[in-house]
Amino acid sequence: MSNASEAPSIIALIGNPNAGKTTLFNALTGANQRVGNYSGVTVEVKSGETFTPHGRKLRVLDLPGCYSLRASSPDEKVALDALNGLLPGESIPDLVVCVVDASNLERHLQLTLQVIELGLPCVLALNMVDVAERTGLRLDPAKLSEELGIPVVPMQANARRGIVELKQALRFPRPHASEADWSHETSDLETSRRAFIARLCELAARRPEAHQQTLSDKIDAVLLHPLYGWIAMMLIFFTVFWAIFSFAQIPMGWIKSGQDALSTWIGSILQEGDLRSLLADGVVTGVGGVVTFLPQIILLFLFIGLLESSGYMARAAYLMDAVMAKAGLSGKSFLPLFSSFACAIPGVMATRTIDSAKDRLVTIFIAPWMSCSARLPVYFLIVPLLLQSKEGTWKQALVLFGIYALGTLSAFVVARVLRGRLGEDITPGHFLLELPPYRKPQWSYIFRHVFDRAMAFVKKAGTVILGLSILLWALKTYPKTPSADKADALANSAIGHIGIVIEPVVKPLGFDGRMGTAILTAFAAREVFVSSMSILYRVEESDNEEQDRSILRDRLIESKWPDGRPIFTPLSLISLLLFFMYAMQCAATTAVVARESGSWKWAFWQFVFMTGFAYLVSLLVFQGGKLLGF
Amino acid sequence: MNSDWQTFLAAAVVVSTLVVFAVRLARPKKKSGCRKNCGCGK
Amino acid sequence: MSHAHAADLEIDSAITLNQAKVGCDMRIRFLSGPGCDRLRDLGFCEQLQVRKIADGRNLICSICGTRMAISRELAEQVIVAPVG
Repeated sequence: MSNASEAPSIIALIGNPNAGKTTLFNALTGANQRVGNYSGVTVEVKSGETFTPHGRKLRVLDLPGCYSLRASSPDEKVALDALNGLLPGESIPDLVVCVVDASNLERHLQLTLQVIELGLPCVLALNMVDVAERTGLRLDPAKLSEELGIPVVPMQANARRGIVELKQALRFPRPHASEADWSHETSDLETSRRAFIARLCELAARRPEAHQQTLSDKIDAVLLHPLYGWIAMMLIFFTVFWAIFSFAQIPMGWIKSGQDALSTWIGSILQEGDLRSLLADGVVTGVGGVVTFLPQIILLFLFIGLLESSGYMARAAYLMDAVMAKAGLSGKSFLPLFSSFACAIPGVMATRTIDSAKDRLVTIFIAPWMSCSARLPVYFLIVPLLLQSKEGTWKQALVLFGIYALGTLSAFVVARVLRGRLGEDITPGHFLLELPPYRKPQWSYIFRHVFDRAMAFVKKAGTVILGLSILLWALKTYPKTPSADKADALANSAIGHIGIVIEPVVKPLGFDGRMGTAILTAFAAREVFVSSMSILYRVEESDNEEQDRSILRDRLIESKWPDGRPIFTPLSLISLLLFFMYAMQCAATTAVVARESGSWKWAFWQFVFMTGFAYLVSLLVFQGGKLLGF
Repeated sequence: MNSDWQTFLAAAVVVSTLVVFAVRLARPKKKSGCRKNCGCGK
Repeated sequence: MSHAHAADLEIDSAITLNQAKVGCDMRIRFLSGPGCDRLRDLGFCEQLQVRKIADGRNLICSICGTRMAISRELAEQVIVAPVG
């Protein structure tokens, strides 16, 4: 049947979500796996390699978790395609390992039977036997194997028990595909399957019938309570946010020091000149601006991973479902939107877990209005100016909270309207969520997850932002003028000229040409706004970011229009804040939105709508405010 | 390190960046190929 | 549905999952509605025992030892009767 061919055999892992499939995959492949970028919660097909005890190489595919092969959701379709060899670049797997939760056979065997019916050789990985034992289940793997016609390997993947036995089952000679004896019982295949599973579980997986209250249930009595549950959830999320923003400060300080050291080093090996300016001002500053947010992103993913792994996220989605419904969405949109507070890019990618295509599109559309962390430098610049105080007071925190709340509220309103206009789904997806028992978080899984996403973020944003920083530098530098004054040179450069053109456009919003220019540069990356403003308003950048901003603020307060009125009145500041809240200023996000929604049109309209909305709101607020006498 | 040499090199970097962007914009299909999840890794 | 006949005879004691009382053990008689397939895939099969743990916009049930949250629309499609 099989000569030891050159190409490694392909093993596919399939199973329900929460069956421990990915834990098994990690245990098998260890460091030898390739992951897609920004995966949602294991929705992609990961591939990796492992070795049999005899040293033969095997390729392992981790298929998306699914409940059946009916292909009613994107996950199931991908899994089915994979099993049929329809994945681009992949052939039919040589063997399928069906991972099931031993304490849940009645539900998990459905998928196994369907896979066996496809005629593929299978092995049943009877995972989580420890949980089964604890719930009082009596398992009979031998009987299971006999009835199903395939090898059955009891295991506990998170304790790495049973891995060796599983590998034994994977070696040559391969198990034959099972006969699928149940399919002939009645005329309806589904009924036959169900009857077979019911009988099988009676024989080989007897469970005590009575419902037992578990520790998880007791915890849920509080955490799922309509009142206490909500309070708990607010507390948990506030703590998470606070922890992210405060813990991140230290590594952010390191990164800034590193950036400065790098700039200094460049300054020491190159004389003054274009290349030095490009590298030190363009590249280091531009890319550094992205890398600076890495600590926050890592922390956010860490906390999300923790919440998910412990099982809490499902409870949060359940509680949030009612709120999400007001926005026309479901609880499944909660996690992607929550992630968008750090950065919309992974948030948009996390929407892959949403079954409803239309819910998904709407979630992607509104994600950028969850104020991302790139807007923070802008907020930190403007808010103290507005409140006329130093950074860090509680009033500021309140205003910041108000900004986040307003952004989120606006997003929900738009979501509701948009969702209504998109109409009903072809197959309405109703809320259906498994609440896994609470368990200790699996750290190795979380760390790997965080690392992957952080790397992907750095690579993706870094390449786009690197390129944009270079182009931005070019716009700021060319055409050149002989003047030694930085602000003059800037005014005469391409971007300065653009600023002059732009002034009439932004003046109704309360901005002058320099601000208009800075806003334009912020379309490349929001963080760049503060640096641009510093340059345009003649502030030398020093090591102390806070101090720079403070000096910049002083300059801003002093600047006046030609007729002597101050430019930065509270009204114009509010107008500026609103603009940054609502405008779509992130090329990288637009690119990801286009890819995830499958349509450049969707991304285009998102940009047009959001930026147009920002313009209108700023306009209305500024002009309206002036009319009212502010 | 002559200033002219720097000017030239900096300009070269800018032009190459423009080219890379133009190329990437012109063929978005090739980029990752998967709107839906496709097989293994990248 | 092939079992419509038998189910008709018992319809008086059968109620939807929505109507069931919290904390009572029920057995699923049959499913009817557009969400049947999805429900079955997730384990809500005929003859299995289910207990409602919480009511609300979305119900929480315990089935085969697993806790599941399902919407009212879906719960409406699950017909149950008390055990015993």
